[in-house]
Amino acid sequence: MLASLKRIAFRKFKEAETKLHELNYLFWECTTRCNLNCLHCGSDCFKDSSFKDMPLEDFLSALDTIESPPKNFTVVLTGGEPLLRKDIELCGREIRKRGVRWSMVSNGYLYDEQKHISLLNAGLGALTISLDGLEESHNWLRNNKNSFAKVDSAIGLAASSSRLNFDIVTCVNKRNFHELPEICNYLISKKVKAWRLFTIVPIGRAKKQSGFVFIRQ
Amino acid sequence: MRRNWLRGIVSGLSFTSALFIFQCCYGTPQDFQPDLLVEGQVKSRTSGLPIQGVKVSVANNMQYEYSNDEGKFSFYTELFDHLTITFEDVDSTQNGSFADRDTVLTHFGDNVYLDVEMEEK
Repeated sequence: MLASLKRIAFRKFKEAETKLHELNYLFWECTTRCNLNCLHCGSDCFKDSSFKDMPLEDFLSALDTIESPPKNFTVVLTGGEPLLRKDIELCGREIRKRGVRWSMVSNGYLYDEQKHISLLNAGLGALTISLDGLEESHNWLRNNKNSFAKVDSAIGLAASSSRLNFDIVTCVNKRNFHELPEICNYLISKKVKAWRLFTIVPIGRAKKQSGFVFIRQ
Repeated sequence: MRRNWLRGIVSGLSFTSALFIFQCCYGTPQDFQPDLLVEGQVKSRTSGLPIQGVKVSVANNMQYEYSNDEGKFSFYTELFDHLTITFEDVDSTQNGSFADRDTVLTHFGDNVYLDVEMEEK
């Protein structure tokens, strides 16, 4: 009975939301540069991108065309690695000046205490950090032997903040699948409250790698 | 108005709010938390001139910022019933020598502007 009611309510809600089609998120790929070279990268970013970052003014011009954004409208800064932008705090402040919330997706490599504080000062409200396994499997997928140590520190900082709506995303693959319970315990020990899991989409660099994609067996 | 009311009821019944908050596999949670923009300027009580390099921090919080060459500062912080903002002269005598002080905020909206005067030691 309750399950049926939930199904009906969900269908109605989904229909209404589809009709309303509110702009809840605007993703800004604010740089295509990245400080890592992950095996599963879907956007195929490079350390030294020949593409220059979009100037803040250009993005703000686009943002300013949105009339009456919904109350929960959020600009998500992604990349590449957004923390490679030297003006990331300015970007955030200018977005907040327009009455819009902003958040960020990061690999955590450059997220130290000073950066944590300057981003909070600039009005960062939500943050997602990528963690793709315990030390060995994370470093393997991230293609960097220091990556886990860096992200471990970043997770500790972000999870300690009561201001941030913070979560972890993990790309589940054949190599880290069996350590998911251990990753869960690790995240609990770091006081992380939310964890999202998804599988790797074979686009960008990921399509060149075998062994990532789960095939029904 | 009625539409929003109905929307809330249906979304609550279907327990799908969380689904729509975390709707993207690549994205972030949404941020519904109220916060406060604290801005202001620090000046010398004696000379009236702006003071650079004053550490402006929120008590019981790791956030801080330094006043710039116009004595100005600006940062967002978590909203509580009251906040204690601390002003500290941390650069020895480089920009003068001033006594530390606190300001307690109790009534504010989503932003507050502080004109702060610091006593010379």
